[in-house]
Amino acid sequence: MRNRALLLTAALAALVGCYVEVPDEVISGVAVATRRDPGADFAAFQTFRINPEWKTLDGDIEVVEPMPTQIFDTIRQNLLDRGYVEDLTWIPPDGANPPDLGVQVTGVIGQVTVYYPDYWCDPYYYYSCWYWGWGSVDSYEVGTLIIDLIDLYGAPISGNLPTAWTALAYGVLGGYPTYDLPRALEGIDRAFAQSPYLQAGN
Amino acid sequence: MRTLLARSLAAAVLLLAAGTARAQTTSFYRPVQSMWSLSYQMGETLGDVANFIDETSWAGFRLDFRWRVRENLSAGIVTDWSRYDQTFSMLTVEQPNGAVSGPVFRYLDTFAVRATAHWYPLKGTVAPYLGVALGGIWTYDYQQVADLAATDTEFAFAGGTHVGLLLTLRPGLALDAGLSWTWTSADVGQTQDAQYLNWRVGLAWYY
Repeated sequence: MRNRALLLTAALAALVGCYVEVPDEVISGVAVATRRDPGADFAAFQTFRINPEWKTLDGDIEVVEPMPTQIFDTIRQNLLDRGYVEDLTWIPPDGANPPDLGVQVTGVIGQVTVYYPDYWCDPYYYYSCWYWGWGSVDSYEVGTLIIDLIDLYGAPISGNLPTAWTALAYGVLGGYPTYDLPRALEGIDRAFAQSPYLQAGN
Repeated sequence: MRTLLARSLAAAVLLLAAGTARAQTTSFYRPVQSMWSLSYQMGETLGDVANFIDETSWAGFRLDFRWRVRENLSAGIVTDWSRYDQTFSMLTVEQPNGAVSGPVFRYLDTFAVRATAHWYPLKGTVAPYLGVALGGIWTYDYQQVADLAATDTEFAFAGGTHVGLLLTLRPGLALDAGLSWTWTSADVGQTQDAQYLNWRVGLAWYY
């Protein structure tokens, strides 16, 4: 009888031990993923130009509108701090002598996801995963800010423009600007901080 | 009368001898008996897996069965489970051509089933032992950043050594305490060379 009570206690303790509670600081935290083109020589780039308009995606609705000033300024300052020079002389999209890097910002307001089984998955939203085992991040969830540095220096005359660097700040555009903006700015700063190779050559 | 006395004496001697023998077999554990032990287990990660989680595990148990195969030698089977978890307020994980950062929660479950052999150099109320264990280990690792999670599960080889002692509390019951080192071929959380150091305390029943 005593042995049974002991075994029952042990089984109960094991069940309690199996319970997992993810801390709130993790669930509500800002995740930032960055990826670089392994063939890109970031020291060879000298100039950049940020598209002042950003594209927001909300399901099937795509809206192009002026980017929030704070987001624009934070990206710009990070690039300046790394030695890149802002080029305001170029007239997009077909002007002569484009800058080396074009900066395009996208905000995913609604759900735009790509399913990659067995990789990073959102446990709360079905079919929302992203994979970074090979350095790629290919799925966008609600509230993701995406920054693309486009390689205009080595761009082909026709066809798609190559992306030299991509950053995703996850969970920073939830529809509450006073809450979101500091998170978005933190995400931008961290994206640059974790990419030390982004440095203009002398 | 003399015959009856002699028979009674002989019976008494036999009973006494049997009682003595019984007392001897149950006064402390020797590998002439079967034993099972249930222990509370704690642990640390060692080797590369400590780069995944390096906090002490306080959740674990171990169930150990042993049978006599020779004097001072037992064979058996042991199964144990441990949960390791850790929260990082900010972690940057370097990846090929990129990085991911954020607050991260990780946990790791290990569940091993292994065959054992133990050697008991001393007999007595306090019986130390040395042992080896070979078998398999199932691992499940989980990591979450924001509300994105990645999981991986694997079944791999596990081997290791044990050292411990049995402290007899009363016939048939002993305190079992010890230390185990385990090496596995499991790749946990993109690490290799997963090793664990576990210590435990529990009760052992033998009969």
